Amino acid sequence: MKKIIYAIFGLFTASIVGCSDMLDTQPTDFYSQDIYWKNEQQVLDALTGCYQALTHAELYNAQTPFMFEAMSPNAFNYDNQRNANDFAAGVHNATTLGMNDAMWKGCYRGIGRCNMLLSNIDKAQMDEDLRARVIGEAKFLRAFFYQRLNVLFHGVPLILDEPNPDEHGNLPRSTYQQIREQVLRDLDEAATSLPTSYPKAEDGRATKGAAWALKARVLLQDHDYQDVVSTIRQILDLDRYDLYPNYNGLFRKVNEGNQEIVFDIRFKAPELINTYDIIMAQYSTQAPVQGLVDAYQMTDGLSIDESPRYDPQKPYENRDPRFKQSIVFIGAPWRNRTATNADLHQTGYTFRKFTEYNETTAGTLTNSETNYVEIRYADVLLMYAEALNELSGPSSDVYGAINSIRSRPTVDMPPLEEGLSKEEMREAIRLERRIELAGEGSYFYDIRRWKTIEKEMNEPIYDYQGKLIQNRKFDANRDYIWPIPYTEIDLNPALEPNPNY
Amino acid sequence: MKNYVLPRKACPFLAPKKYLLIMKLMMMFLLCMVAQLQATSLAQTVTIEKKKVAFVDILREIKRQTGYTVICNSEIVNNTGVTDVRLKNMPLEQALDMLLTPKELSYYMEGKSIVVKKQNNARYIEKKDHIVQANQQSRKIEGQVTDENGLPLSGISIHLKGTKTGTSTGEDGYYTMEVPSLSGTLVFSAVGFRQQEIPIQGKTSINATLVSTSGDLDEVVVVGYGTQRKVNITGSISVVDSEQLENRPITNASQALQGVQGVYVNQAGGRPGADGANIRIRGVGTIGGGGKLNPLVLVDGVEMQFRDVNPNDIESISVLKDAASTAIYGSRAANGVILITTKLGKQNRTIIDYNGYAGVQNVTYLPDPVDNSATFMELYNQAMVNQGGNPYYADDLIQEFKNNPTSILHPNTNWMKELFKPALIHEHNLRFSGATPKTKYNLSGGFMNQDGVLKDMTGAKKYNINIRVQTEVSDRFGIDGGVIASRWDVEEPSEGIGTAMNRIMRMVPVQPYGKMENGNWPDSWVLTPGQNSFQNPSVLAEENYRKEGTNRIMANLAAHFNFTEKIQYQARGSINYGNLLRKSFAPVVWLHDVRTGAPTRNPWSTTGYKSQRQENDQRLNFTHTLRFEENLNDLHNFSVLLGHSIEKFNTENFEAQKTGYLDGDLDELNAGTRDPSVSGTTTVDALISYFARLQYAYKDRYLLEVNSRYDGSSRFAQGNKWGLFPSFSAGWRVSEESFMSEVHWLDELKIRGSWGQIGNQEIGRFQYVNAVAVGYGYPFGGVYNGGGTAVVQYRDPRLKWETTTMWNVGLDWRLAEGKFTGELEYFHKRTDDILRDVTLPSQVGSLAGPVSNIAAVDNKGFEIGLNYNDRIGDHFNYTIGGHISHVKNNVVDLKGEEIISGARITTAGSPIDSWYVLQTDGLFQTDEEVANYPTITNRVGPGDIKYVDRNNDGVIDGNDRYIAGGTFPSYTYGFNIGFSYKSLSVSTMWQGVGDIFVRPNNNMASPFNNGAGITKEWLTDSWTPENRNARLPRVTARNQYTAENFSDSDFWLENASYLRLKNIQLNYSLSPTFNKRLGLSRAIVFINAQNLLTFTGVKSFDPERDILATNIDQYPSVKMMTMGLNLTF
Repeated sequence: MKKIIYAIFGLFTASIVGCSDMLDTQPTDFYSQDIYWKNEQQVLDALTGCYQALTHAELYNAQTPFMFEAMSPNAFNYDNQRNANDFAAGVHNATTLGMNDAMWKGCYRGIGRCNMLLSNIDKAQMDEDLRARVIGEAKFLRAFFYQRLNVLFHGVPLILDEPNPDEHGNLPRSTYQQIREQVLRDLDEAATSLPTSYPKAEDGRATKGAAWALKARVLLQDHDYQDVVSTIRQILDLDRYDLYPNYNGLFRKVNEGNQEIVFDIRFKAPELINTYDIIMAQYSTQAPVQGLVDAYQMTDGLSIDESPRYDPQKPYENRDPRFKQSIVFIGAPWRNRTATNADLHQTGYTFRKFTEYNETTAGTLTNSETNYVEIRYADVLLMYAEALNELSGPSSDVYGAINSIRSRPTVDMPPLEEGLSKEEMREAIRLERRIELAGEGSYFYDIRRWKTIEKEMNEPIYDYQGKLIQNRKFDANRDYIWPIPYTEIDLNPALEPNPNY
Repeated sequence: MKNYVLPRKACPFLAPKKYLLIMKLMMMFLLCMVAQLQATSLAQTVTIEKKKVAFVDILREIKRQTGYTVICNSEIVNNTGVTDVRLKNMPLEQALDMLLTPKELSYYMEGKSIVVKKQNNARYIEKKDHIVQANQQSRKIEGQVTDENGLPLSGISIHLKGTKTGTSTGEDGYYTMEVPSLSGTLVFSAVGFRQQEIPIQGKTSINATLVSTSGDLDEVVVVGYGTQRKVNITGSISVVDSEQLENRPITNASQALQGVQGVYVNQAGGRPGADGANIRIRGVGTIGGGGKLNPLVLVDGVEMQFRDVNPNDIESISVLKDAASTAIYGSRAANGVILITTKLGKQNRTIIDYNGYAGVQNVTYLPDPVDNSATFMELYNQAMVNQGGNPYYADDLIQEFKNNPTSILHPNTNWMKELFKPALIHEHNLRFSGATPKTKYNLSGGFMNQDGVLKDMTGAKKYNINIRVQTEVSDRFGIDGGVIASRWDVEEPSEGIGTAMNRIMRMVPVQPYGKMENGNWPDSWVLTPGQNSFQNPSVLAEENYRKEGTNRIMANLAAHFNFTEKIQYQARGSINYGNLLRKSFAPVVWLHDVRTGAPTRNPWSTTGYKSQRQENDQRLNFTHTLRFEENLNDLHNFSVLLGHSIEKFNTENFEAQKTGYLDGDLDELNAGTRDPSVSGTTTVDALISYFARLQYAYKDRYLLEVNSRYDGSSRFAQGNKWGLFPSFSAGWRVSEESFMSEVHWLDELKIRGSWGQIGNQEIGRFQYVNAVAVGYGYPFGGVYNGGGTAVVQYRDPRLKWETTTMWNVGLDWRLAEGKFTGELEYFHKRTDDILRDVTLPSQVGSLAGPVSNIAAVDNKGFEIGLNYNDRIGDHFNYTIGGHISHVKNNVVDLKGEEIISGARITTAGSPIDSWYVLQTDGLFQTDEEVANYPTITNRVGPGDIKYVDRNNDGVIDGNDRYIAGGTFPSYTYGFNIGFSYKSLSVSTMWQGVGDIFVRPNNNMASPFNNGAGITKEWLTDSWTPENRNARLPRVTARNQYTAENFSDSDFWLENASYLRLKNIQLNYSLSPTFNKRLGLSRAIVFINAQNLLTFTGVKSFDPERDILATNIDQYPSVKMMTMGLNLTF
């Protein structure tokens, strides 16, 4: 009897003592921060995570990058995802939570990852040259994200350390100028330590040229033309970039990393895909509108109003070749058949750019892995031309930059007329930007910079039949800057709302 | 009448030596098993040798030796004095006769009870062959006595009123007795049943149906790690027994809690295989979703899901509501504990039960869409014009639809009518159960087949087996074990119900239903902006699938060993193993141009896909307890329970996916040609616990109980793993006091109170570890670099237990011989250190916020339950019961923060998840009015919603929001009304909630949402210059005119209060003679209706819905009409 009692109590005690370390479980599918930041590989992996932030749906996946086009006079977003349509129509308000929220979150996600890396990289044992390069890449990306925020919101909280809610959660907005200075500082530091190019296996990372090109973009935003010119000259001196002969081909996956790409956001099926193909082919939620189509010149370099080659019955014939390479219209060869009214039911058009299917390939729609080209050499040339023209009028460098773009083999447009005035050249450059970069989200920023938005976004848009799609409004007292997402103000009342919201 | 009830105990005598070795071995073997408090074999002899012993002690000793509960009147105990006793191995009945007869007392035995009575009003158990022959000219009366369910009752005493002539029923419930004449009145009586009198009136055959008295004194309630007599309970516990569930078509055991006082049961939808209800006990005590709000559910002591237990196998359910009752479950008890006990055999023979039903399900509510294409297009055009745009559909197109009859080319499809059809359900259960003096067993099997009302797309099959055996190996050692096994096969559309319902709610009348003549799927040639492709849900039904099979086996084994009569050791071990295999497949499907027949598009996958997911989980539990009981001088009753438990829970999952399926013929992963992807992980949780309970009763009238649990959990960081959860409770059975002995109408009155603390460990794993997560890769050089890492969440290493402190005061009463019972409860539940996801400002790296101990929430409320049952005349019994619970939820402290989630806010001073919306003031009527009032945008015009500028800043924005209603009902109530007349009985169960609001939005709940349809009310009830008093604003599209008319505002809040006839059941017991012919001891035919009637103001959907959802993409609720049979052989 006693033995039984002893046995039971023995077991009882044994089970109590023996199992207490059961509670010490360890994570098996992520690292703990305490054991991270030790070696080179961990640092490189964290840097990869910084690039990955670009591919989030809030920045360069789903419809988001094309929304900028739809918020410009070039296109229309019918389904009002992320309230892009409201922003375009000017009916957004303080409680609108769409593109503004996506950009705020998307950019700060990237900033946070870069800051995490930059704050911890010194702890790792690694090659010093590599460390310098990694720091350069992270600073380039941080500048990239801050630049986006600064243009859209004009001054945001400036955070440069590892994310810490206690320290950063209630920071107010810094000024536009403070952010701008930080962006330029980061880009200068990045340009110093970044290489001009990478071996094939590393291609896609930020380069010296990318840092300068982004810097030019920042400078141009504030009409700092002299610095734009000197910065771009540095890029030209690199002799690293050139126009890719095939206009449509430069966006294709097979031509990834071609000589025109300065910085792009990359995808790879099946692990990291986007939905560009299905958006363009099936939803056409970001549909070009008639205004953009009409802006394409005829092959003689004249507008459709001036050119004898324009036939209203065959409006798509004899147009700037970039038209058919950028836009699908009803009757266009498309996906191994002819595009129909039903395919292009929004406006009668969809973008061909950034899609993988072409005239003869049906494509798969899903698993799209097209890269998003954020900065390319043609853009650099156009910025160069714009800045030079503003500084000193239409010099031969200005003509050279524009005409090189127009004379690209698959474009073959006649050169610009000689002897344009500064103002005429300005108009020509602006049209060239609109056409060359159509569908790439650039025009949204361009018309803000030029202030032409006050006219262009106060006009209605039409579909291919001339039917009114939407009346748009732009309030110059308010709409140059977006409302800070009210949810962020809820969380951090120190954030000052933007004027008139 | 006051009764002393002396609880039954295990029979004490020393085991013969030869057993000891076997016992040792078995103990070693069975240490990891479960033991339950249970009846032991009842010894039939008594040995008492004592002098000058109080009568009550003799009875107590008898009870101790025999295991019989002895019930007797306090008057007897007080007036009987002391006696010398000398009994040695005397048979029980003989001993009782010897003891009682000199005292002019008698007794009768009922089940496991001995009831001691004064001789002059004693009821005898007499065998048939001992019928008193009172009169030679007597007449013979015969008949059968059954209970309400038609089950024969043995041992019922019958006597002729005013005489000593009497008999009792035999095993089959039959009796015969001789009476002097066929006049007078027969009295049928037995403990546990209400006495019934039936006038003879010349009849020679008299059958009686006895009604059991509720609140029976020895009613035993299952509590944490044991059982407790109901009268001695000091906590707050609601009980559901099998009778309340019988014959109801319950498809998920959670539905069994419908109608329980203090429990909010919300069954959102009748989706086959997934129609479990949300259970909230006494409000929402914490912030967070899903598992964090669910009560702990234990089946025969083992943590399980409702879904895995067959409702038909449930013997009883105890709902532990206050901290005093739940603290013994410590860290998992914060939302209440539900203890389910499965059935065991009861009768001394094998009983075979069949219970089966079949019936039809119909949807309760679906939106009523505009289903005429021309009308639809005209209304759409109107919306576009109202928004300041152009008509979209051309007049000639509209005219074409008007001119042509409905066809696949000119459809006028009502998708709701086409897709939702009445669906069949049937279920069958077979049970073998029985008992011998030492062993009880139950073997049962069940099968259910439920088709979904979403025709051809949904359905579930369920298979159950339940085996349970309980046996006393020797007088000191017993074992108990069982296996609960279940299999579910559930079929749904490949994308899951949420997405499928979303598609269904997007369908519009211009899209054709069905196939073309050549068998191809038609495309829709009339487009709706927003729907770029016609994603026909019928295609989902026919071409795609998602099949999910889940197996679960819960096996448990227990042993108990009595060291002495007062000390019992129990050990139990259980394995709860489940696995799931879910296969989804979608082939490439082409739609075709209706006119040309040419293939147009494949709206789902352009490559086809297959995914296969496997999940396993194992929950291992080992618990042992040591009990000690002591009774001092018959005044002080002590009982102590010490326990220790170890629980380990592992899960594993693995998922693989491929695309590139060329057609629908080959559907295995091996047949996929592209893009393989896999994922998988494992998790481990562990819980180590020590617990103790001390119960003390003085004179059975002052009750005190202390519970405590010390829990260690793997969910928290070193240093914060352990938490202590104590509770105290006390009760005073006022009715036992001598000063109450003259209050005859009062059977029982108890005042009780409790205080306790309980915890909640339901947070994600490793929430205290600042993690660098993998899986953030990016391609360089054209090759995907999978090594990317990122910090994506900020985590709080200081995490500790969420602690709920709860006060409870209760009053129980039983009046008028048990006819009127009731209880009243008041509780105050404060949850501190609530673990919740903190939302960080995105500027902090857009990191997901940590889970932190941040809030405090109060739930205060009361519950009242009343029950009355009685009879009118001889055959008409009725019962009326009702209960109402009120809970006031209030966030006390949120550290100055607010959690705003869409249109809901959680903020100090208001209930959790309150609706936080703009205030509205009707509709703008004129341009002038628009011009003189702040508007939300510059597009607003007459017929649009007028928002109130609450802060008077001239702008309508987020600062004008206010708290407009709650998402948890302040009131839940229910009532049961039932009656029986002869063989017929009817019972009804009503369920209601009050003061709760919903915000249905998006597809079909609001008009033209991104290409979705519109309901008919917009044709008649929307604002036009001619219809200015309209209920709805002018027609616009939900996603295009969002701010103006569809901002979250009180305009769109709907009061989701409802009262619902949850169940009505009609039972008919077939006559005993008929049964006899078929060899049945009982046969019942029943008809059931679930959700038959609903009274509510909700217009958009069924009110019993997912309250927080802002869409109506939910599987609809169903009305179920079933008919069945319940046969006992």
